[in-house]
Amino acid sequence: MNVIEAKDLKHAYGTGELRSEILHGLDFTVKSGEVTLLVGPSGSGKSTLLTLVGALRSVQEGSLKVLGKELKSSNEDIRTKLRRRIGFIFQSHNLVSSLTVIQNVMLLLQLKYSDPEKRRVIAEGLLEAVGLSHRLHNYPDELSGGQRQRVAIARALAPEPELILADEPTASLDSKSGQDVVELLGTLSRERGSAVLLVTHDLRLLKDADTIWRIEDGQVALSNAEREGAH
Amino acid sequence: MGSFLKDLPLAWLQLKRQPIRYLVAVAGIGFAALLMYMQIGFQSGLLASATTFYEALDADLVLISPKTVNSGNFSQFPQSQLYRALGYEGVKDLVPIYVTSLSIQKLGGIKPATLRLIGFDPDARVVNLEPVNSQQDKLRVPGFGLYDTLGNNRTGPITQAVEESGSQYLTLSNLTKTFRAVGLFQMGATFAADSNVITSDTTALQLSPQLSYGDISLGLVRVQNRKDIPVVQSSLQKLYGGEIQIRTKPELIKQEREYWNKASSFGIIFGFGTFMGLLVGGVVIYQVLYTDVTDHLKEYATLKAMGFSNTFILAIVIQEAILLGVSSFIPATIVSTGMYAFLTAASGIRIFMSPDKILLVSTLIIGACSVSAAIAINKLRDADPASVF
Repeated sequence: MNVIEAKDLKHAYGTGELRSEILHGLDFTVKSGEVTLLVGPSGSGKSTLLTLVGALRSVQEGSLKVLGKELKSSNEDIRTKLRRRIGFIFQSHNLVSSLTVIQNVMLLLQLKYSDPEKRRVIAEGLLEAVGLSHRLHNYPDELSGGQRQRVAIARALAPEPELILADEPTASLDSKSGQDVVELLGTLSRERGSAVLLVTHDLRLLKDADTIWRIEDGQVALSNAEREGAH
Repeated sequence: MGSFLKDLPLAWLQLKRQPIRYLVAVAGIGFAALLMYMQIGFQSGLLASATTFYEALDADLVLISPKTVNSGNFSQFPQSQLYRALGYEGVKDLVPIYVTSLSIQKLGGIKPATLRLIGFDPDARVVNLEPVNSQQDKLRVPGFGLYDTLGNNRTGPITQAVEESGSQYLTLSNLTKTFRAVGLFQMGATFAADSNVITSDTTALQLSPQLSYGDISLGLVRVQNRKDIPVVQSSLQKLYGGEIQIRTKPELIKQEREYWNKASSFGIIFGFGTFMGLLVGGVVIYQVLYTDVTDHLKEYATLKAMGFSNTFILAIVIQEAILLGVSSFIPATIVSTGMYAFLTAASGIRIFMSPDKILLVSTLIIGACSVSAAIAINKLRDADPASVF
C-alpha cells in the first residue's frame, strides 16, 4: 500500500517575472512500512517536497495523496488533521525548550490520549527504547545533540504515526551518533509499521534504506543502483 | 485540550523557565498596577475627605450659597434667609452653621497649620458623630473647642496633649488669639485643611475675622416627616429662587464629588495618572509577550507542523498574559495596601484598600493583558509551519 503518491507534482515560488518553479512534475511513491531516502543536492527541491508531503503547504499543481488524502485543494483544517497522523523529525530537533524530555514526548501524545497516566507510560516506554530513561526530567539544553535527536525520534513515534518525515536528522551529529540515530529510527519505525521518508545528504545512510529516490532540478528518479553501490 | 493545559501548563512552564525575565516583567507590570492604585487612591481619598463633613451632618435639607463651589471654601449668606424657612409647613427646625479655615501655630513649633473651623449653637444637634454630641456641653464655654484626631501631623501632637492633660491651648498663627482643645472627635483631614476643630458659633466668630455675625455658611433644615423632604425642598426652592440652593445630603455630596471630579483639574490629573499606569502596564506586558512569542516562534511553528491548532498556540499566549497580570496584580495590591496605610498616617486623608479599587485595577490590568496579548498574537502569523524544514 502506498502512503505517498505524487503524480505530476509541481511547485513554484514567487509570481510574474520572479516566479521560480522548484518541482517540475514529480512522480513517485512511498510504500507503507518502508524506509525511503530522498537524496539530492542543495536547492534541488527536497525540503519543498517534504513540506508538501507533510501537509505544511497547499499543493499548487498535480496530485499528491498522503495517507489516502488528496492534498490538492485541501483546506487548513484537513491538513492539520492529517499532520496529526505524521511524525516529524527535524534537522535541529525543534524540541520545546521549556519542557523536560518526558514532557516533550507527552506533549504530542495529548492530541491522541486524554489520560495523562497513559501518556506518561507511553512516553517513558519510548524514551527507554531510545536509551534515555535516565534523562526523563532533563531539559533539552542539558542534552547532547545525539540525545536531543533521540528525544525527537521518541516524540515523532509517540502517537504511532503511519508516516514519519525526517529532514536531515544526522546533519548536526557526528558520524557515530548519526548512524545510531538512523538505525534507531529504522528499527523503531519498522517495529511499529511506520513508513519513513528521510531527506539526507549523508550517503552513508543509503544502506539503511529500502528505497532511494534521487531528486535533481525538481525531478526524481528511482536510484536503487546508488543503494547497491553503497553496500 | 483543557486537561492538557492543566496537566502540562505550557504557558506557566515557559515563564518559569526564564525566571529573571519573568520577575522583571512582574516588577514592571506590578509597578504599573501600583501607579494605578496610587492615582485611584488619591482620587478616592480626595473625594472621601471632601464629603466627610457633609456625610456627618444631621440634616434632611441643607441651605448653601450658590457661590460656594466646594466644601473647602464656603461663601456666606444672611442667617435671616435661613429663618424665612421656619414658617413653612413641614419644617421642624433650623440650625445655622459657620465654616471657615483657621491658621494656627503647629503645637511645639512655629509653622502654620490649617484647620477647618466649624461653629454652631452648642445646644443644637448638628452632626451624627457621637463623640461630638456627647461633648457639646463643653463648647458652651467661650474659647473651647473639640479637635479632630484624624488630622495629619502638621498640626503637632495635639491629640496626644489633649489625651494626656485633658486640654491643650492652641494659638492662631498671627498670635492674636488662643483657644483650648478640650475634647476629641474623628472626622478626617482634607486637601485644604490639616484637621478640623468644632466650636460654638460664638467662639468661631471670635476666632475668625473672616466670619461675621449673621452671615452663615450652611443652614441645616430638619423636616417633621422624612417622606415630605421632596415637597419641602420644592417649596423652599420656590421661596429662595436662585438666591440660595436647597440640597438633600445625597445631592450635596454628589455636587461636591462632581466638582472635584469634573470642574476641578483633580479628576483629570488623577484620571491621566491612572491612564499612564495602564499604558505603562500595557507596554510592559506587550513587550514581554512579543519577546516571548518571538523567542518561541520556531517552537510554535513546530507545534503547528505537528498538528496542534492555532487555538492551542493562542491559548498559550493568552494564558501567559493572564499569568503575568495575576502574578503582578497580587503583590501590587499587597504593597498598595501598605502604601495607603502609610499615606493615611502621613496626610490624614483616609485612603484605604476597598473591593471597588481591587475590581477596577484588576479589570484594567486584565484589559491591558488582553489587548497586549491580542497585539502580540499577530506575531504568531509568522509561525509558518512550512518554515520548520
